[in-house]
Amino acid sequence: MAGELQIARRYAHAYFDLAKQARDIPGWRRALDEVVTILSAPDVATALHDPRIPQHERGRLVAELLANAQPPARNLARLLAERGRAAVLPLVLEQYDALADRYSGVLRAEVVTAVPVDAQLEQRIRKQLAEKLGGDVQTTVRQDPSIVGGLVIRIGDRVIDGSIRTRLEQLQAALA
Amino acid sequence: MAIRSDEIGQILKARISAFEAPVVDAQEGVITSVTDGIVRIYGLEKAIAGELLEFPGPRDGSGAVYGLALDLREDGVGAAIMGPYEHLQEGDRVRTTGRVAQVPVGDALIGRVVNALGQPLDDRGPIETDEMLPVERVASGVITRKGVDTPLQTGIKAVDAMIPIGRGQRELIIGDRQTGKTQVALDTIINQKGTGVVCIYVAIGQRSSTVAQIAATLAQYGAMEHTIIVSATAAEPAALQYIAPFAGCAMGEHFMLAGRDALIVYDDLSKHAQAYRQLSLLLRRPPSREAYPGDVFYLHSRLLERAARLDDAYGGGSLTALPVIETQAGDVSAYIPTNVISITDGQIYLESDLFNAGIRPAINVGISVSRVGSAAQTKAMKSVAGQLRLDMAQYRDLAAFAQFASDLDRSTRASLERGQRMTELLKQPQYEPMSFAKQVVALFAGTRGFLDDIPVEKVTDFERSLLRFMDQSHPEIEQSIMARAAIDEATEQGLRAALDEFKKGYAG
Repeated sequence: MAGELQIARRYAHAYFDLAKQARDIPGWRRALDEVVTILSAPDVATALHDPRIPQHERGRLVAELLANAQPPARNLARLLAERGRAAVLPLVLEQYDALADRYSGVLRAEVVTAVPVDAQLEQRIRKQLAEKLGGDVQTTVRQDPSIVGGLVIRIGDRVIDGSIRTRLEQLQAALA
Repeated sequence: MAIRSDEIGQILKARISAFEAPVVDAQEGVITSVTDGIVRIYGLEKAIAGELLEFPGPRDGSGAVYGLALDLREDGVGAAIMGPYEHLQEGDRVRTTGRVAQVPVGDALIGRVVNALGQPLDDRGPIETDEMLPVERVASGVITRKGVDTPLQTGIKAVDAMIPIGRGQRELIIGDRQTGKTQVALDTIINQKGTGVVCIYVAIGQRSSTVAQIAATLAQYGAMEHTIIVSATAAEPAALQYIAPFAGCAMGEHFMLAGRDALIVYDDLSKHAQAYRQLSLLLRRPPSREAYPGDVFYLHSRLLERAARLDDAYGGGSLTALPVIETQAGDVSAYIPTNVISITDGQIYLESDLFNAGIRPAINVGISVSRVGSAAQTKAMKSVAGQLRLDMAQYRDLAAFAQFASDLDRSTRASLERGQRMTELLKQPQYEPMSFAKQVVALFAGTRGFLDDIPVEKVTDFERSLLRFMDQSHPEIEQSIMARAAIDEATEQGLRAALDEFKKGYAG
């Protein structure tokens, strides 16, 4: 697991650097996304992980499947397949997104609320987060009644928890 | 006094309305695997080494469980859980707390039995103290220290006379199982009664019944009034056994930093090393000799370095450490015993052969040493201990040789006779530590030849009667030794006269 992430990070870096040079970060992402979708189809994924198929065969298989794909994305997939690492491809996409976000200063925040949020409130949350954290904040809102009330905001590893549930737990601990 | 239920309601209402919970701003990660108390977490990029991590609590609602961040990696953290972990699942979320592991310290702990996190295990309510110290602290530096110069009286004749321990020293107690290692430590704790030395007994990997028994024994001899027991029994997670001695040390350091004297017993560090080995192997750290990790030496050296005697400019407090190591079949060249021997300032060797021969405490005075030596001895003790050490050394040399020789010259026989009596004199029943003046009187009688014409089997009885006689007829001699910590000429003459007087009346 730990190894896979590092491998994915390395490939994503290389692919992203090339995309940067080509000045087409969204385009290269689309190409990669397409490749990942095709190779994640159940039949294809099984074949790619079948140890009975030799590695160079797998490379050819990938090349044939992706005949219509963009050359850089296709080559990346082929390279990974030939090295028996086709499984990390979805991780590469994930890492690519993270690199792209960091490059363009985008912060993705997940906002969890107990009640539905209207567009105006979401706008306000986004603005305050942008002020606090700096950068372009994009939010996705999720509803989870189990937090009782308040907000939980997650930005990557960081969590800002102002939920009623957590406060109740703290109160319980303080009174115990 | 009865508290009415509406008063409780009032108090609760007040506390609830005054309760302010700040918004939690922390790092969050996701559990990827749980294996035998070790949890791997994805994320937590900014976690710090030794940080407390908050895990979701068990379903019964008993509150959050905490873990210790031990392994910081590029994409995650390995943590040891200090509590139940059976309920944790892959995908559960883990939060940082921003705090490193710390324990409550202070006088409120004295007389209590606590776990490795400083939470009470006895039935005497919460521990009322606001002071906390981190469990892992860097030992006092060179500038803040001074030489060991004050004795820590163990109350055991063989130790105080021949292996003197000073305040701030680290003296290892080593021996096989069932040789009385814990006994030496307990007698020392009991002997600290009324001396102002706060004692901390850290039980690592022992049976709960043993710890309960020790607590009861200490209470029975009135020693719990100056003692803290930190217990991490065999049933507790390895993470708690691992931090227990560090937690106890932090509690001791608090007294040292306040200019007071403290004594800490780690019983025992063999089990501690095993708990750490378990954690390390589960964290997939490379094993080395005897499968212990490479940093097991540092584990104990950083712990024992924290024992110190502070300079007067820094309060002059002290923390004396008595680590205990259990050997297997007398093998002191195993990994952990050699490590701890090389870290400490000397060792008390206990042997099962001596124990079974009825020599108790079963201290092998030939190979036991104290590297601080007589710097931590009073003048009075020095004046009798020098001769004692010589007598014992001669006796050991001759004893083996004399088994073959049928015909012995008179001086050899005298040495042997003296040695037998001294060995007898150094025997001491458990839970009966002796004041230093009494020890001096008894050893004076032995080294000055007053025992030479007493039959060997009568020596113990002679000593007991002598000390009783001194208490009743000549209390001023012990008082003088106590007050001056030396035997001046007048005292010596008085002592000799008293001994002669006693011997005349002693029928045996």
